[in-house]
Amino acid sequence: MVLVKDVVKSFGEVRAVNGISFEVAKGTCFGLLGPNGAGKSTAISMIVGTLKPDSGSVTIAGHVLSGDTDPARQKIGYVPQELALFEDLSSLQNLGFFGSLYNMSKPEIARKSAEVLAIVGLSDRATEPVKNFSGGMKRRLNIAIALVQGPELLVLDEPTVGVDPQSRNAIFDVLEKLKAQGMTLIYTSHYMEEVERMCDHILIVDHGKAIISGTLEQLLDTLDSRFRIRFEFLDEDTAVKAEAALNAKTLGKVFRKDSAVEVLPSKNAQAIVDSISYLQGANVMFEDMRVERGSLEEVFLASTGRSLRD
Amino acid sequence: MINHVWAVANKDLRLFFADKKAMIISFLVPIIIASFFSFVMVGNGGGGKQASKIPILAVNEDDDPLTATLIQKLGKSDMISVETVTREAATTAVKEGKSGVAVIFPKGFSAKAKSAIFAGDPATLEELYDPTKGTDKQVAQGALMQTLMQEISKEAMTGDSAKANLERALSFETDPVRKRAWKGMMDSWSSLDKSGGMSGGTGGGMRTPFEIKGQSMTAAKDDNADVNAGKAHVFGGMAMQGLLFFAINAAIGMLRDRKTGVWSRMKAAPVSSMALVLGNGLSTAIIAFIIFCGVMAFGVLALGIRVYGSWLGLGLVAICSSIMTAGYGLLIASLGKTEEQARGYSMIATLMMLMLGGAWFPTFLMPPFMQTISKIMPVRWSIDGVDAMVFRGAGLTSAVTPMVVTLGFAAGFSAIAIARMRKQ
Repeated sequence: MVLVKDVVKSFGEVRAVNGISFEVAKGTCFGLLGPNGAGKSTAISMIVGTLKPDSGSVTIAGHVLSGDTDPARQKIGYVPQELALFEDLSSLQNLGFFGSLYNMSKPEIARKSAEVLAIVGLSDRATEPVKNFSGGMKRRLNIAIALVQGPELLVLDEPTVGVDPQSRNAIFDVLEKLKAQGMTLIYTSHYMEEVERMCDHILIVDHGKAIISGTLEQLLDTLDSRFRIRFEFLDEDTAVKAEAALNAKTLGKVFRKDSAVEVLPSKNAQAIVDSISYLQGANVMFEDMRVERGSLEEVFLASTGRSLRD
Repeated sequence: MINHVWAVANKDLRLFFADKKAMIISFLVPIIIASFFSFVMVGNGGGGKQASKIPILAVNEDDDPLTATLIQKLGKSDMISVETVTREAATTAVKEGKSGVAVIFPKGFSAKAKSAIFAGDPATLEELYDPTKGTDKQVAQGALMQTLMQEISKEAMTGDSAKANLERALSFETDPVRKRAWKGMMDSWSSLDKSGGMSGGTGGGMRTPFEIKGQSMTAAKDDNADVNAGKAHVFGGMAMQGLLFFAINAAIGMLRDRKTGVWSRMKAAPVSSMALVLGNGLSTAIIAFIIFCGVMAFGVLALGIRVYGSWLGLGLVAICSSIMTAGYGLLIASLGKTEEQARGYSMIATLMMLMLGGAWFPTFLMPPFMQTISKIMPVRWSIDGVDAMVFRGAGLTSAVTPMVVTLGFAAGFSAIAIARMRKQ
């Protein structure tokens, strides 16, 4: 459905996207994961055609987007990171305006508007000004607008920013419904939980470059261990001592943040017992210890040496 | 493309009418300011004849009865009203800005003034004035010159005082030829005075030997012509102010669309950028035209402004000015990177355009170099067009130049804006 090949985009001296390539199969959800400023939004802008790559190409359903009025744009629904709607207008008026930009007839707009409002659960608020909506409702309308022309590909740029957990779940329900209907999704986020839940295939980007890609299972398999051990210490000085003690042994990768130390052990459950033993040997007492399942956070940490939320 | 242009324009019109408060303010601000200036600058009827008199203070330190008469006569002037106070009160009032002018008649003023008509040093009248009220000073001096000249010369040239004054003047003369001439004149004067000739038809004294018959060069021939012209000019100027301020709001709206992702979303659709820009321009022009019509309609219906020229010409000037407003809005949107930045510099540019374009006061009041500068202000041409159609009674052909020039500005602004947007 989507083929992105060696795309490069610079803004002045800053290279926002540096040779990213990936392919999105029809009917799947593709996740772009990376910290803020990684180049996700720039990559998205090139896919939806609002930015032209300096080099490389973007192909949508076998067609390279050319020019502002390329009919292939009809196939793409775009949900910007911001709430790109008019608060003084109603849901129907918003849908009507954006639908008219996609050359839809009035009856067609009316039919599709009713359909997409039902999908996002806003049918009963269709004629109310959007300024009366809650944040979560606005987010859902933001998605509905991208669906009005009946796209084959839905591109979502961090669609849950600033949304409460309940509304976030409502958005996921909508997206899962769309995915079940066979829609292709490209989803960007810096929340690993969202990408883990939604996406069949994930690409981690950082500083404009593709770091690693694959299914969730494939990415987790790249870790030395499927779990991590987290120790909490009384203070930072103790944590520093603990980090030194654990690093002295070949347990795996050891990271310290403030008064906590995390160990990504080699594929050996014995590491849990060993690490406790090493700390005792170094006379370092910990306040708390947890063993957590490995996640994309660890994948990113292992790949880039820094936290996804930095 | 036309469908897309209209879709964008229609959306902007819906947004304009959806925000009722903002919409009302767009009309109300120029109407209130124009109404205020109309009442302040031109009054509300009768033109100059009904104009309020300028109040001045008079201090009488002279015991000559003529001085009291002078002050009384001054009070009957068409131009000023007089209140007699003490020197201290006059000084304080002018110093504190409560009064614009005070005139002090010092002791011996009238006696000296009467004899000075023929010879000797002139009498001195003290005038205290507030430097911020230059017009009051000039009007007061005009009234003083007229009234005092007539009354003092009448007193000096009639009755016994005329004889005494002439004899006094004769005593200064040493040349025998001129002395004989003065003597002859004195005898003739005496005969004329005894026969009542010096207090003839006008009550005697020297009076202004001419009168000015003013004719307001407007299409109206009635007493209300000046007021209509003044109000029409003020409403034309304030309508333009309303338009340019709306252009700023329209530009800020476009910048907000960029910031909120609306622009990106519109750009993602199969729509040309030109259609989006033209749609914004079209809605700005339509709303600007509605504001212009609303402001002028208030002037016509509520304040009685009459349109003596071509209604069609006025409509076309309004349309061209509205198109210029749209171009100006696009220019602001293209130059501003943030809303705050755009609002800041566009406000300065707009106020300069309004000030130099004659929206606040007529351009003829400006120094010559500013009048030259005003010709490069689109507002100047719009207001000239409105003035010509409303109170000068000009026909459609007189609207052509203002229309062409404002459209030229619209084209220039739009070209710069589109070039900037393409670059961005």
